Amino acid sequence: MNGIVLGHGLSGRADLPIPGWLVGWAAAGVLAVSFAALAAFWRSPRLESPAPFRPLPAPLSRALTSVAAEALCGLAGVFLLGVLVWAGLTGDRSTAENAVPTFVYVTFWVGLAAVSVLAGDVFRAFNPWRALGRGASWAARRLRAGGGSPLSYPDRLGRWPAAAGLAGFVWLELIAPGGTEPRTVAAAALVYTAVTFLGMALYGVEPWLARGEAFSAYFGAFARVSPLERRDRQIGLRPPLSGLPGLEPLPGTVALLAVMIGSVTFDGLQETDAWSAVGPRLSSALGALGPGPALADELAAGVGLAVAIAAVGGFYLLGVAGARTVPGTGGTRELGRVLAHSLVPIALVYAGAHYLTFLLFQGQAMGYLVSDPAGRGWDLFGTAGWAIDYGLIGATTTWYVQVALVVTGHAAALALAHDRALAFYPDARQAARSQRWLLAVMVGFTSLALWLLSQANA
Amino acid sequence: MRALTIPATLAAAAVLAACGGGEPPLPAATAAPATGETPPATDEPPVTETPATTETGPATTETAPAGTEPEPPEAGPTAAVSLEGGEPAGGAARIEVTRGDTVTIRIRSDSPEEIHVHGYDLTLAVGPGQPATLSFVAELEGIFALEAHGSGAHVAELVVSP
Repeated sequence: MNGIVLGHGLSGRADLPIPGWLVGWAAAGVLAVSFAALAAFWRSPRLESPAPFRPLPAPLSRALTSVAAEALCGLAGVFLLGVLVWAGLTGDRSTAENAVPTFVYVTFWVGLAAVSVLAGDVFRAFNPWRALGRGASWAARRLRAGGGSPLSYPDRLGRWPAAAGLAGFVWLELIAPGGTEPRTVAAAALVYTAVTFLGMALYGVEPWLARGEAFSAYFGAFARVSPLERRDRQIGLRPPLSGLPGLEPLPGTVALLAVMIGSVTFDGLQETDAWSAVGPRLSSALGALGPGPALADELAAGVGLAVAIAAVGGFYLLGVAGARTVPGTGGTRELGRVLAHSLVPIALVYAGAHYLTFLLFQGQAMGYLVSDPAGRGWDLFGTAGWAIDYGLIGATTTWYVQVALVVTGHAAALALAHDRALAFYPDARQAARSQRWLLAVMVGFTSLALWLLSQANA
Repeated sequence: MRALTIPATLAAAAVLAACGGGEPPLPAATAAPATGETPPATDEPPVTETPATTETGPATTETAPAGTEPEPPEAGPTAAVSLEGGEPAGGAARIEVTRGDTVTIRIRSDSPEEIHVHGYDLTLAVGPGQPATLSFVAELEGIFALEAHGSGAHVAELVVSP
């Protein structure tokens, strides 16, 4: 097992670690942003009231939200899911020759996250399970075979199913044996389709998609960062960050974000000397309990992933518990959920900094894979001869973009937590006191991000 | 594409025989700075066939001071990789170079193998008694894997810094 080939599951290329001098500048930037935040923050909430909304030209909005457009996008999503299952189950078995692993782990997981940040909740339109679920319930109504869902979605379940689903996806990509092989990915897609159908059948299409469905939760959280928003039949622009306070503080929200941040942390951690020192020892300790070496490696990695997720969530809740010492708040869990949306920018910049070059380089592979999705020597679009241009972005530019992302995410997280505290606490002084704890949390996450970027393969 | 040269392995066996094939093997997974060492076949074009000479440099990977020596273009950093049963002897080497260097990687293997440099997309066949040399200009920044296609082993890492 080695980091460079298995890091992110697919790539044969890895980023150079960020040099020490740049980490120093980044840390200085983080401190400057933090002190500016403490000194100069506003005194009444600015992001909590309904944000100003500037609609796009009405014909454009109507066209994009029309029934025809919805049906077309839904069909496209179902078609892609079908191609994925077909190419994965019947095509070439190699991860590189078959389009399925690259489509799922690069185009979908990382690429669609980037699109969500820029263009809003695009996944909702293309979500194949939503399209299938709506189609099925429409057919059921037509046949009078029963309309509504048998159960109402339990409040306590919240986003927990989505958090579990995402953890499963990350486990498949980073740890599961053969998890990046076409057959396995296609089989996993079928299993997930079955689970999603069960959820939609039990609780209804929209209730399940709004809370239980993992990818809707994942892309939906990132889409709240986007300047574009859909309100009923209108699409329009909103101010930066104004979409995030609308993230409902449901149970499981902190878990969802802990999975998002913790999984990237683990993926980065795998490439560090720290993991090289701990991983094999953990593996041999687990191997002594009975399982073979391969299984022991997987178990050790599984423990690493679980610990990373738990540590991220635990560290956040620790800060929230500290903030609770300021009078005027409820329990730690409640306050944790209320402030959870401030973790979305952190999750975004963790993924962005970590997967930037993975998307820019490995994403290009889709250019030639699309001509031969099953690896059968086809050339559907005449692009089969394309290659990845590894000169697209240099190491120095990559470093600056990574650092800029991390510092910007830090600033955004502080702004969101501060604004929510102003709305939540009776007066601005209490809000400011509570924010020292959240500041410590954000500095911790940001330092970890910089450390991971400075460690990769060093 | 770029100024990449992939030497063939045609004359390797003959050269090896001429030099006496019974020499000690290359130190496993090492690289030596080219400076101070006479590059093999200095008056040949960059496509070089390397005889299996004994390595004399220190067993660490170093970046050659590119551009500081009035050397011919092939006198960039060199590295040697030795495969035993498809696995790199002594573990995967780390070959550190600076962008623009002409990198020379000598590879020996006791079994037929195909070595692939990711990113640069170079492939090289080696086999018993057929050491081969890969020489190319490192134009792409990043960390790239060298993989043995036969065994699937991770043979070395090419680290190209700006």
